[in-house]
Amino acid sequence: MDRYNFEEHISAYIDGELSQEDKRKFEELINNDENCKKRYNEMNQIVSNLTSLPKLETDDNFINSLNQKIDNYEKLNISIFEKLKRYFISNSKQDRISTAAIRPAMGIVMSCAAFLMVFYLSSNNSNANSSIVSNPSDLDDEIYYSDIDSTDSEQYEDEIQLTKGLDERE
Amino acid sequence: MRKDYSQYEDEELIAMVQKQHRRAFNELVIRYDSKILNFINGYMNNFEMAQDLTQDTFYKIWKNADKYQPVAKFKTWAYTIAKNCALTEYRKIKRRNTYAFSQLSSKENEFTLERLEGEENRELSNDNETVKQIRLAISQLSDEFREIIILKDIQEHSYDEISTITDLPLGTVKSRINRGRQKIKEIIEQNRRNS
Repeated sequence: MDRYNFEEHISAYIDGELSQEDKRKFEELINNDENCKKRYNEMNQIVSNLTSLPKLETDDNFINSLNQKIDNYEKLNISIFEKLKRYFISNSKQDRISTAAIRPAMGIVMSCAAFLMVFYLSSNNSNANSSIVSNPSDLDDEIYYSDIDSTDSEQYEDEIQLTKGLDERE
Repeated sequence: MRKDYSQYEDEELIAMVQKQHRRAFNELVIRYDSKILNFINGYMNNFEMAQDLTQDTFYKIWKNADKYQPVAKFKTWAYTIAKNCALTEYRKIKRRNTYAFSQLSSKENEFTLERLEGEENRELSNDNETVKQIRLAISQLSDEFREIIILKDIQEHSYDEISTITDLPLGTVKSRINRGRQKIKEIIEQNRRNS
């Protein structure tokens, strides 16, 4: 250590973090070099001002209002799965059921639920589809009749009657 | 017989919090509320705001307790949450102020900036002039120095503890403490010249 890198070590000296050897060199510098001594005193003053800053304390009702906030959160925001998880964990004796054990179990339960839901929806869909397109010829008829407006259909009926008449005569 | 939670280590308490033990959580609050408050106040320089953010920090600790991994110290995890809360709010305020200042003329900007920086609040109004200057200088430090200076000179942690809390090498902690203090000195001198 010399007067050129002296400044890097001021804080470590003040905080008692220098080795015995560095401490000796540092003290030698502040005793023999006015500039080093001045810089050391300035830094020492800053540190003593910083460490003597009054410490702030939380208000008396800090912990109560925090617990109130947590109670509100617990009441409103916890999902059914979270409640189940907590139920199992809080009822585990001597931590025999840990979170690590609960997670795979919850995963299996949720996978089963998802599978059942998909199965239920797909079976419903196939029933619904079969009732609509059970007979493709019905569908063709629907399309055929929907293309004919009311006047056309009257005309069409007349034509049928006429054809029937011709058939009977024949 | 009721458990005496004060005999447990932080890491044992947070393990209990993971199982919804509210009294274990309250023990952690008692241990750390003032430390976190002073830490956050270094960012905000406003007691009311710092206290609200301290509450938010503990609220997040409760809500996210299951995300805590025992590989890190509870202290490190708690300070990380506190720092994130403080920085998010600090940046929000800075953005709001930048927007507000952009609507004013340059002379008005200077006046408003000065007023906001020197703004006092209920609990800090009893501070003497030197204490005010130091608090203001801490809040004007850049993030990397502010955190270290608060942990060292206000919370009085050792170099090793700061290295653990901040996850920085010991050498970096040492140099940031030294440079941070020098910067405080420069900021105070600068503020004196400006006033």
